[in-house]
Amino acid sequence: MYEDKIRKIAWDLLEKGNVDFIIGWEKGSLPFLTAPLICRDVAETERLVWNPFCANNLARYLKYYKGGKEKIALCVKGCDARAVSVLLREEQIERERLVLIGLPCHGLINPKKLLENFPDITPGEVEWEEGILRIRGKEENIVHLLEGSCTRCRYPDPPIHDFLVGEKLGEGYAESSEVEDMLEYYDKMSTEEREEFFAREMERCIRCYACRNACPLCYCQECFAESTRPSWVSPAPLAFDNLLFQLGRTMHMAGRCVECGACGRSCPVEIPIDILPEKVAESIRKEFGFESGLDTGETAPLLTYREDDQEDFIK
Amino acid sequence: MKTLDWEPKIVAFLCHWCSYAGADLAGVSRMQYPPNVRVIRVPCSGAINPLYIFKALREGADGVLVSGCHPGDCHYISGNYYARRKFMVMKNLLEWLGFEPERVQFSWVSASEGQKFSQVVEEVVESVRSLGPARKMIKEFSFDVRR
Amino acid sequence: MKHAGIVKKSDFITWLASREAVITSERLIRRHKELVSSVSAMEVRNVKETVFPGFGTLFSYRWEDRRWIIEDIPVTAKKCTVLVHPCEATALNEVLDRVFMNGEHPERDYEKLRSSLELVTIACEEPESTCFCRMVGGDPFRRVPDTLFVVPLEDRLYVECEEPNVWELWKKCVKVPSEVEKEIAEKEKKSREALPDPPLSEEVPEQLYRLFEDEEWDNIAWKCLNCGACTYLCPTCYCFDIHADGRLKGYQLRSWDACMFPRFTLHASGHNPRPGYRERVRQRVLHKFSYFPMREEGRFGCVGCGACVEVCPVNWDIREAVQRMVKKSGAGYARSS
Ligand code: SF4
Ligand code: SF4
Ligand code: SF4
Ligand code: SF4
Ligand code: SF4
Ligand code: FES
Repeated sequence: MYEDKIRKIAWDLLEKGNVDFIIGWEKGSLPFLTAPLICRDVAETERLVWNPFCANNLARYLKYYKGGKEKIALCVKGCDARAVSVLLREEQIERERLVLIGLPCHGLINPKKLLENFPDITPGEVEWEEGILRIRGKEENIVHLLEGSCTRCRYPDPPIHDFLVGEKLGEGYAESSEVEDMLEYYDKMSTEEREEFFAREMERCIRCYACRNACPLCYCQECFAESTRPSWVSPAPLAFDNLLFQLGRTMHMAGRCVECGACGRSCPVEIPIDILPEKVAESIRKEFGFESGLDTGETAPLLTYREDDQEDFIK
Repeated sequence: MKTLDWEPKIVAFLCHWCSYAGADLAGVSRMQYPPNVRVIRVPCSGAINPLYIFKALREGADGVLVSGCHPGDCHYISGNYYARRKFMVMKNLLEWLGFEPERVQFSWVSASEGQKFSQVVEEVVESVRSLGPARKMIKEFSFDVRR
Repeated sequence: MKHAGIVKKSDFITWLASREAVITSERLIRRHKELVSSVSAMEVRNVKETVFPGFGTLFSYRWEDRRWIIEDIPVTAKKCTVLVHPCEATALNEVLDRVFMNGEHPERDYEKLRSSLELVTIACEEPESTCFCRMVGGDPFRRVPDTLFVVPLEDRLYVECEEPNVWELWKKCVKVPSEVEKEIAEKEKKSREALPDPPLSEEVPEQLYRLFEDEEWDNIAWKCLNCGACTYLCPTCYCFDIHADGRLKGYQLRSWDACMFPRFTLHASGHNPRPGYRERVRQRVLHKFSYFPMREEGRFGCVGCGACVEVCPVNWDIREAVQRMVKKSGAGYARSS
């Protein structure tokens, strides 16, 4: 059982003193939720879990330890590992200080979709074991319940890891014809519809910055959005300023975003905000053939150039 | 929303070594170009942060022009190559979101191209004029949610 | 004096439809769609938006003829009937009112918006997994003062209030049959039992205060992202920021702010008295469970609605945090209830 293996690895690491603490997920206080967990004590490793509700990208917590000495073991899904790889590339943390417990990921379940498809379902009725989902005792296909970003996943296996718990999956749902890519839905809209959609969503944004704070790659000490001199956007959640905040953030993610969807999942008013950085990640993949977080030695696409880059948009 | 006495306001970010000099040349050569541009001189097109552009739009610009040296001519060797990538990504995003492409435009203008500069400005101003004022950028405040 | 009555559901809906404007909270719609579906009700995510919106203008200013011209922008307030649950009504009545309307200098805009509201409290028959109103002195059947208390029944409503004269609806109410009274009492008991967390004792505020320097805060706070989701959707969080928008011409704006943001306490010198997640999370917990009740006659600054638990991206659960600290402090729970 994967969970047992994770706990065993975590236990050993702590017991032998190889790491100072483990960062993983534990069961949440509400149904179909997990919460990030830090284990400093071997006894706490019993609380570690691994299931399709482990939505948080734990690479986000590495920023606390920048410049420190602690050795950290981190549980990583495919996209979490890609985020770690970007942090390594950007020299936010040292590889020697990390032990990565890699978890090939079958995709995250969106709790909303789960409840829509199976009204009145209780946590006890959902079983998950080694890639097989059973709901009320019956085997179910996870693809109808996936989180948006997971429908576009191309790297379910952690590209960097020290341990690997479970079998490598090879390809993600991006390859699968059963799954509709989340972005396709927005791509199919006419430009007017999309504009309208975003205008409405930006009116709902309360500028809580959960999206930014959940993102593993938004680690700035002072974010442009909160800078007062100069002030780029109003701190008040005016619709246009909300949009500019998102545009600014999305531009900062260009060539870095690992398409984990953590930003979108964290939004308290359910704005699927991850589509912006993910759209840019897609356009960077198409234009420059670059995918972020696969190789720590890579150069980010916006930190380099080719003399024959496209320029037909320039007069 | 077009009003009779409305004139588009264009903010132009020009690199010091080429486009700004080009604008200067247009000026000293007495070339005519519309007075709608407000020029902001920057060291290099590579120094233009997309936030500058967003901020200009937020503060009421109807359009933005970004201009630098021709590829290969950048005073800092490669600033405009980086800029080109960055702006392409930005432009794709803005257009996908339904911003009119004419609102943010780009050009290469060298120090000797006074003529080209005035022509580019002309084009930018006219295309923005035909779009009308930047509607979505107008800030609307309301204190009462029960309006 | 308590007055109770029974009214037909259709009469209630007709009465609602006759109101100038109706506002409901999102959670109420989730549970009682039938009450408001035929009325064009406005939905708010968080009830405080009705009196303390996310942003607003205080005044406009412009530089003209070498002087500043400042123009007041008073709010306009329409009469509104607000349908909410007891926790939300308590948030307005007992927390926000104390903050903005108490004492000599009531906040002008708040007062105006607040006095244009009439509150209808709909009792909760089925508390959700995030609810914990009982823990902080509330109750799913709490009769919040100055509100119309309503328990939806099959095709009738049970109604209770202190001043029947102010409610036009009262004319349609008839006497409560004794079997209904029994039914209400049963519902009340059942609903209360569905909330497992017992009320906190009176000593909690003082005891928690003593744990200010406790190292447990570190463990409690660690996973928090320091975003604004919980405070912005909390019906009692009332912090705001004031800023000018525009140089020579513009508006003075007021918008929500939150103690969870590092910038909230940042001094001009660069010093930050709440530098880390530990201090910020402690502030949120202690403000609601210690400072506020110590200052406001034991009224907790939290009404137990669970909105923060519901929206938190990392499932940071304030109940767990409080229970952990309360246990540590030895204060415990009230015996009665
Ligand atoms: S998490 Fe959602 S509401 Fe909060 S700032 Fe981001 S988009 Fe806006
Ligand atoms: S921007 Fe969103 S999708 Fe991209 S890395 Fe950050 S959290 Fe993940
Ligand atoms: S949005 Fe940009 S400035 Fe803000 S934290 Fe993210 S990367 Fe940094
Ligand atoms: S408790 Fe949750 S919602 Fe509140 S600031 Fe922390 S992460 Fe955000
Ligand atoms: S906390 Fe839940 S049960 Fe209590 S009053 Fe609020 S909505 Fe009702
Ligand atoms: S100096 Fe002109 S673009 Fe770099």
